[in-house]
Amino acid sequence: MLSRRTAVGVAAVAPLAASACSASEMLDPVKAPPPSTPPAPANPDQSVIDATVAAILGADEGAPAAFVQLHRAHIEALAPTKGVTADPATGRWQDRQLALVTKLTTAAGRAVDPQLVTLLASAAAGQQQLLHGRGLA
Amino acid sequence: MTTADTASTEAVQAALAVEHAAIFVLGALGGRTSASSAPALARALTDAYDDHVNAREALAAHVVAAGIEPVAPSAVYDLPGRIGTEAGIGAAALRLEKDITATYLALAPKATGTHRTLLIQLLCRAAARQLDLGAKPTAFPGT
Repeated sequence: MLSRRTAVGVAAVAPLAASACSASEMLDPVKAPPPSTPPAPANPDQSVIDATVAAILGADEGAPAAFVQLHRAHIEALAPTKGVTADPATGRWQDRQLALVTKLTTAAGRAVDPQLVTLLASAAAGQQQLLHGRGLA
Repeated sequence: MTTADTASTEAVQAALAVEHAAIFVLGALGGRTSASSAPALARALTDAYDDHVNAREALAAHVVAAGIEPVAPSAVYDLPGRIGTEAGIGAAALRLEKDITATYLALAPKATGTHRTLLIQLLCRAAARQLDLGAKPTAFPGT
């Protein structure tokens, strides 16, 4: 049980506490304006990435699992826009896989970000290795 | 010539210097390999040597086209250790190709235009040669 002196103290503080609650109502985070952080700038290389992934997906139509598996790692590292669709698959899968080395090299030539250049160049080399290992290049 | 052009040509020059060293080392390794007792290794070393000579010529042509004197080879290079056996020679050649792959990958972003394209093409060749020397394929060679 509170002593009389404490009860008086609480009574004296109570209006202040109520006042503080009113102030916090004004700063309701739900009603607060959104933070003024500007939106992230668009990646200037995103079109290169998406076109490359579309080419990879198109090349993989009917290709052996080893190529699809390799390209899964490449696509994951490239981080394309959601919903990128495959380029139309024309010709033999072997020819499409061979052409992919050139497409990756060309994409690396167009990329601005040095890290993306490195990624695309290394992916081209990985593709060349797999083709070479299968006697296709 | 812009700063970017200069950096691009320097990247090609650096690759050319690497090819000079590779040709020297592969010549030495090939000279220690018997074509009769280790035919596969001898063939891989010969193919690699020829490939590197072609790479040197292509790189030198790009440097000359940029109006610059191509970097000259050194008189001598250090040879790798433990090359007294066929296994040691094969391992040294594979290490060399892996180092060259990594070097090309590091140089590619510094180059622009046709210089970058050439460096990536040579990177791809180096990655493929690794398989001839016993390496397994990887998703991202040179990293």
